[in-house]
Amino acid sequence: MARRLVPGRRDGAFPGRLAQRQGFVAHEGARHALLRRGLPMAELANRMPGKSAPVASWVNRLAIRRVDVRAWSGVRRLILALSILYLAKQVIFVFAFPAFTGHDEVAHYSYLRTVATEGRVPVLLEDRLPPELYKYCKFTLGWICFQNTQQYLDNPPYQWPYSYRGQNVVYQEGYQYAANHPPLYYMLMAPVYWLSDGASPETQIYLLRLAVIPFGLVTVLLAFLMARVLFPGDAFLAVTVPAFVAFQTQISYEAAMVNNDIVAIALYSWILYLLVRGLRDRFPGRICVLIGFVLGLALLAKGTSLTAAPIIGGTVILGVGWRSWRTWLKRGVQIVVPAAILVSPWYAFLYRTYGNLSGLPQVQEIQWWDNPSASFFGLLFDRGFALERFRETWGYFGWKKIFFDDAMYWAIGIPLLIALGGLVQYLVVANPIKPLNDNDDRVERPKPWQYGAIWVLLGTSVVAYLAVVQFGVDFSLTQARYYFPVVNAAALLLMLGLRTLLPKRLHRIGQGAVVGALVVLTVVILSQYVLPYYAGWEIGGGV
Amino acid sequence: MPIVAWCLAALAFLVLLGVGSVTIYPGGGATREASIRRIWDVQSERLPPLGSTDLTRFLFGASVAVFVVGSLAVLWLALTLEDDPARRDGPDGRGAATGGRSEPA
Repeated sequence: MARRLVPGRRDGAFPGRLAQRQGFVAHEGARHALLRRGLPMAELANRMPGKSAPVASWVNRLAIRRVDVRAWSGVRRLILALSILYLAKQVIFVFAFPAFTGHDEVAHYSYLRTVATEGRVPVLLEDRLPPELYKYCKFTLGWICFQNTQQYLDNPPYQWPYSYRGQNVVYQEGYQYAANHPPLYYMLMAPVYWLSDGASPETQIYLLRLAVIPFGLVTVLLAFLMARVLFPGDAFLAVTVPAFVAFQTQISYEAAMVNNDIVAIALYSWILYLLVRGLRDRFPGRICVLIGFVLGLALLAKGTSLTAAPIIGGTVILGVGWRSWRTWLKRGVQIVVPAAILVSPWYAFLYRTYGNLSGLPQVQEIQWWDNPSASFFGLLFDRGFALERFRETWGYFGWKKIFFDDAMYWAIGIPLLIALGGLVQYLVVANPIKPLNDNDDRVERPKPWQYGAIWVLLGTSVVAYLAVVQFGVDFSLTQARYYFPVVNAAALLLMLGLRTLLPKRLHRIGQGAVVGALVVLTVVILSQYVLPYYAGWEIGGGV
Repeated sequence: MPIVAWCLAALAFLVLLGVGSVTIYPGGGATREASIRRIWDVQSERLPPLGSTDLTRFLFGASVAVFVVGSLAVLWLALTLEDDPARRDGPDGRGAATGGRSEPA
């Protein structure tokens, strides 16, 4: 580095310490003089007296360039504005909800505390939730709750006698029931815990919530990138897909709470983006290795990421052609090896600790009161089950205590049904085989790889929903958030459907209408449901 | 210009929405000012002591302000963004055969 500071020397020879110092001082003076004149850095480097290529390169590398946003393209400016808007909205979400009212925040915070203070992962049927968090017992599973009784607040119950199936049994209470989750999120958050060590758990909750906002932003940006890769020149999808993800109510909520969900959502979104790129470029080796790496991270964030595995396999075969079995076998190895290296310690831990690879039998033992009786197909065709998942996808804030009115669900559901109808029309009408004319709409007339990618995203969404149904066979507490990782796929499909129904001349108005409607939705939810609900809220209150 | 008219309409809509949301805030017939104050007080009491109360109020208040301005900015940009003809022909999906470049016109 020091040799590059010497002016006029291109041969890299070292002329001695004194000459080096003189050259450096002279250049520093000239650089500051030019800086005062407000010249751009690249021009500044070129105007420096006695400039040389190494010096110009050094200046360009080290100088902080002035970012001229006005010179950016419209779509880049829009994404910048959307990102800033998203960050502001997420901060509002962080503070709108009282501490520990998010999905299983007590359990996830306790998991993080174990990782940060004891340097280990908690164990099901051994670790308990901390006694000082008993005042939040109504936001936990399996901890009998007397939150208004001082006796129990002082001495939380960790076992309780029940009469169950004709027998009097003493059951264990207050188990750490999130211990089967992989450790990635908690390892990432441990520095935040250490930095805030000494603050109250409530303060830590708010700081930890703020710390996950970047994962939500990454998800939004990946939605934009995926739409751009798939249909590079289309404004409607470039605007509406990331906006849909940014304002989707429950994804926003997930990215403002202490929970591993949003990390898994961001990583799954990365996988989907890479799959679309892979389809476009026929899965070169570097993309396959990257997919394997991200799949490994996703599996270390949340077990539900496992649904990505069959999607990846099917997409690679689709991309390289099923007849080229040697190629897709090679690609498979390139994907599996990095993923396996990353996740094998975690699965080895699971097997050694629980004798299985999920810990779910132990979760069932903790949640002994959960006795689902439905079959897979019973749930699949159960209208009530599907409606409940829809309500969870958009509403049910604050530990499923804040409900929307039916009118609100209809206001959300009708546009989505219309968009779904448009998607069906697109899948039927879009013809990737017919030769393109110059005036053809490039979205309505996709190339084969683009059409294939649409079907992959559709398959991804279906598989994710079926996984939630399957989980419901064993756990009646199955929830819509287990399919949230495919939000980017769902957003692209729905917005593609909407675009199909809109005439070309109305696209710009449609873009604005979608963004406006999403902003309105956020304002209405916060002002009409969330804030009023918590207006008279106390930890021990009845609400 | 139609686009300007649309933006003005959107702005008016957002303002009406904000005022309307607060006015019909289910606070038991409270006036608009009282409702705003109530929301603010409730949130301020709940904000954690991240150093000082003023800091947290600033953080929350600034986020609300950025949200309002940012919504309008994104709405404006969304209403004015057009297709990019130079990029409409993406790669043809033949991968290495074309180096991932656009197919010839």
